[in-house]
Amino acid sequence: MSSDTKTAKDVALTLCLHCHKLNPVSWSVCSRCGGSIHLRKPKSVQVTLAWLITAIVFYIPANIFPVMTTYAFGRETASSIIGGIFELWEQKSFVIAAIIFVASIIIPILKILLLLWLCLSLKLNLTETLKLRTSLYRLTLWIGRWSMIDVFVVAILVALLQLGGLLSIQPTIGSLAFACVVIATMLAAESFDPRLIWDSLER
Amino acid sequence: MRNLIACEHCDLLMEYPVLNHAQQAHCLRCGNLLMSRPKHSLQLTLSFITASIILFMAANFFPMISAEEAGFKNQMRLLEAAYAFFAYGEWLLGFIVFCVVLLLPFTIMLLIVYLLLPMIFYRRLMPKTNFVARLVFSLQKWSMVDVYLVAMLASITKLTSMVTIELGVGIWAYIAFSLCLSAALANLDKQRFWRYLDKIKCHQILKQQKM
Repeated sequence: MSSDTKTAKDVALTLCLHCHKLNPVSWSVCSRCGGSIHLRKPKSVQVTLAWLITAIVFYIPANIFPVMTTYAFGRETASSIIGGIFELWEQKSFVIAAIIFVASIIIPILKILLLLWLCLSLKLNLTETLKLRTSLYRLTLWIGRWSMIDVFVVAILVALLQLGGLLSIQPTIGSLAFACVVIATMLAAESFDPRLIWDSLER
Repeated sequence: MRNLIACEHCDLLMEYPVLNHAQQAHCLRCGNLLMSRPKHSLQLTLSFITASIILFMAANFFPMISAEEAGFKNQMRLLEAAYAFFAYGEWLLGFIVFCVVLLLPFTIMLLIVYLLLPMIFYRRLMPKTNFVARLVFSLQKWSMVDVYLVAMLASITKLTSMVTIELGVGIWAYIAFSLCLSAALANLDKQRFWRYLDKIKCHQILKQQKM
């Protein structure tokens, strides 16, 4: 990094995250949009870690408990997230099985691990892989909402398959836990401040 | 201060880029997209939003999918997907789904019309413009209309192996609605919006001075 690169912080300016206007550091409200401004997101790492722990706690019931129960011809079957994917795979709908596998297994785990690594690397003051970490952060920010697919699939199946005693589907507690995992990871990603990654260059 | 810009993701201070409509500016250090200048982006947002509002009504009014098996038949409208959870006592989950696929997208659409319509056609700002604009930008990522579309396609594939499925007008309206809303939100650029707002504020001040 060349020595003439300057950050907004170096020249005592704060970027308003609401409207991207630069304001003097001493101001607490943006002169253009009136939103509150901070040099860095307040208590960013702590808040991110808190949401991550919440997500991890919810992740356990989300996988242990079934997401829905199917009553078909008097028979009762409970299906979990992983069970549902296997079922789809056996029915030869490979694309859908792959989409749900990626959205509801890979993305949440990857997101939690990535954000944990980002928080840890700040504590360790790592000065390598700055650009990579920022790109990965952008990925977690963008990809988080797609995990909701599984919850919505349950919603649609429950709404549609109410065919008397023949076939009906009930939601179970697993889907609520999974929705909470997704929301907690989204909030975690949002409270993380990637500028802290680059601040390690100054020290 | 006016001809400087800082990167949102790494705080690097740069000169304000001068772009033509085909160019994009990325951060020199972390590669974050700083700015792009598509033609008439805010006008496009407004027109796509208008289309989405109409399509949203249609998607709510017409049944989307109906399932049939051995004489039993059941239809689903957009609202019923969230309502079904309430019926089984999962009111919290029902509330979450209702918020992210119905309430938030609808609120965002109305707020964008509230902001942009007077700005584009009358060069005027509505009361509380700053607050509403900040609200829109922070709520934007919580509207999961596009995610719901993919979920819908996934569940249709799953359903065809279980029961007989019939697609209604509602689902085509929903697909169109989802595409329009995504196009509208993709064209709504933070940077461009606030610059445009500044321009209108200047215009108002000049008008007052003339009087």
